[in-house]
Amino acid sequence: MMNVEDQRYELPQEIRMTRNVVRDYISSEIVPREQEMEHDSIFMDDDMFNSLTPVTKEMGLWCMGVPEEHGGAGLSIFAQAVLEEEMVQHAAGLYRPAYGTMGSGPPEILWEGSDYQKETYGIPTVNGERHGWFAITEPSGGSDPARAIQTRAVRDGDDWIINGSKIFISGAPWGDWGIVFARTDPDSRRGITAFIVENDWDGFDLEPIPVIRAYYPAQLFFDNLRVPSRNVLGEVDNGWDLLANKLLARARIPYSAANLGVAVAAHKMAVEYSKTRETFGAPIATRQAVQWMMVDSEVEIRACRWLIWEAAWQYDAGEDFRQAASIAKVFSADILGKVVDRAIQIHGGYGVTKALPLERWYREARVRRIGEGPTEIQKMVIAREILNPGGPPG
Amino acid sequence: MALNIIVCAKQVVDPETPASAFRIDPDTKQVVPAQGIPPVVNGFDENAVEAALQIKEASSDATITVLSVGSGFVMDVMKKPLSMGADQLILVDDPAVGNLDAFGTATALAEAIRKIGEYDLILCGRQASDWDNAMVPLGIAEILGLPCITIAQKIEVSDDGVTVHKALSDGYEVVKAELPAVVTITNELGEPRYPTLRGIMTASRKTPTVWDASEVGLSHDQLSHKLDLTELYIPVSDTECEFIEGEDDADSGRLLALKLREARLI
Ligand SMILES: Cc1cc2nc3c(=O)[nH]c(=O)nc-3n(C[C@H](O)[C@H](O)[C@H](O)COP(=O)(O)OP(=O)(O)OC[C@H]3O[C@@H](n4cnc5c(N)ncnc54)[C@H](O)[C@@H]3O)c2cc1C
Repeated sequence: MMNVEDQRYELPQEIRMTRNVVRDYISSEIVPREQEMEHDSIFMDDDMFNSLTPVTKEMGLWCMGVPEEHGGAGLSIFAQAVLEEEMVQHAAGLYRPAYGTMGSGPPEILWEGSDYQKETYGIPTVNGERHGWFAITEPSGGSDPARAIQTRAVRDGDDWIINGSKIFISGAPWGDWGIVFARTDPDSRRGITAFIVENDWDGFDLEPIPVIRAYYPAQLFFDNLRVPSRNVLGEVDNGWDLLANKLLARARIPYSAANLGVAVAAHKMAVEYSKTRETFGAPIATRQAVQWMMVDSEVEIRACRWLIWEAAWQYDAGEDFRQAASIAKVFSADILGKVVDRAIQIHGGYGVTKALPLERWYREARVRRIGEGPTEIQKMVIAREILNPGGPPG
Repeated sequence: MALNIIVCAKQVVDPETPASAFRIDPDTKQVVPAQGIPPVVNGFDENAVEAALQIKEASSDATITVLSVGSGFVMDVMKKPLSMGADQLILVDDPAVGNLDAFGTATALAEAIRKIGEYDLILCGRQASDWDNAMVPLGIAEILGLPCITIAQKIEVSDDGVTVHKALSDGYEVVKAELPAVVTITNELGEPRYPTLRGIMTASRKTPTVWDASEVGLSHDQLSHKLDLTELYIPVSDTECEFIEGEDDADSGRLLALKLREARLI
């Protein structure tokens, strides 16, 4: 076991071959179509979309993270991380991987719900008939949801009545249902419950929030929003576990893989351009100043990939992966910004034009250090684990 | 009808390799594979795999064997036809067959096909994207004494042989041959299908059959080059931009036409 010959560390062949297929799909089907689209587009036209979905369904890569019994590919988080890195390598990829043509499942925690909930919300979302979102952040804050959640849910007979507001909710403008975390026990920091609500119910209102990226979020308003008991996800007062431990921590892995993928795409563009652009009689790739920018990007990208894979391995092995996921999230969000910034620098003026995706990635990358838990909060999680290994989550 | 289809497939340098990463070695007169850019299965050969799969779907009982001759195979790449649905992969993998001319390649493939023994239909891509010679399939047919139909955009197999729509510049010709036969497939046949996840799982568990040159019965003499490559270089192209100005648009157009005729371009 200890000689060099016995130890080969490489991806399993089926993951490598699937990665080739996803790479091929993105470069042959998505990138050429995208070139005909607006710089900041977030949707593909319906005909295009409908012509591609049978292809990905046939490939067996529809909703790759959704369990097989619910109509997905049921891939491990590790396989998903490897494939996500490829899926996002196009202009809209960071927020709209493959423009949704590889399916987009419901928030993962929905599968913890009842059969009714899976059939009414989960399966139709996998089938592309419905679209879900999740709402934690409130105007009072997102970093510390246990304290900041003020949206109240009060029992009324067999129903619950929700009042309050959520802010920066991605996907809600185009969705038709979502998971709202509301306070059900005002005396407890953890007295939070997850509710499934629908956009067109009375008492639900939504206001778009223009932001730095085209895929804008929304503020949601709940005014005596009535929710039947069967729409309580999980147990009453047990929403915190779903939220912190199942939803947020897990999502950080594919989120980080998306950061990595866009960094890889930007870096490739920079390397290619540096070899063809000449100044003072030689390609700029021959200048050490330019080489070192590319070296830094190369080093960061490779390190990032291992951090993400480590978190994914831990998750799949059923180990406590939260620290590793936070490390991947901090690092990937950080290097995405740096790598895109360098790629722009290497492209000079063209880097900031809307003819190239770099400008778009530069804006979108900025959100990544805030969304899904700001860098400073990830560092709190990492510090807690350094100082008190295996201690209780915050 | 039980049908044994052999598809000849070649591993080639990815034609999408960016020009700035494309290198040749003028001394050995070979292309130097670009670092980090894996090779691919020749595009037309994937069309041939697609043709074989369509024939298999139409008839109940067909077996598709993918055959390749070369060295330095990348298994993730060569297994792609298996992940698309082909049944087995046979590689003649030997440094001795790593850099053959068209005749040597045809000889090696023909000998391997003889060793396989049972075949009804041999499909090839119309040409390989590395050298674009389009000679190997004709060589195989010649050596095995089989009919050969080239540039098929549609192919059907029935009890009395194979019917091919052979693409022409202004339409197509319908050509028939008895089996066994060699048919070369063109991209007009349609996009090759993507591998499926299930196909990849199956392919990753399959071990290809690997033969070396001597197992196929190939002698040194048979493989010696009949064709000598005297020089290999990347052509340098110069671009010059000239603005043609006339009195008005029509005049500019006329002057442009004259210029193009002078350059014998029209
Ligand atoms: C485009 C976009 C889309 C989003 N989509 C969603 C969504 O779909 N669903 C959802 O629920 N939320 C979503 N969010 C919200 C996001 O998760 C929050 O913005 C984030 O959690 C931070 O919350 P906040 O904005 O209230 O900042 P605050 O919590 O007010 O924090 C402000 C800043 O203070 C610093 N900080 C806070 N606490 C500490 C601390 N303890 N130590 C050190 N520094 C600290 C951090 O730098 C932080 O950025 C989205 C946000 C954006 C911008």
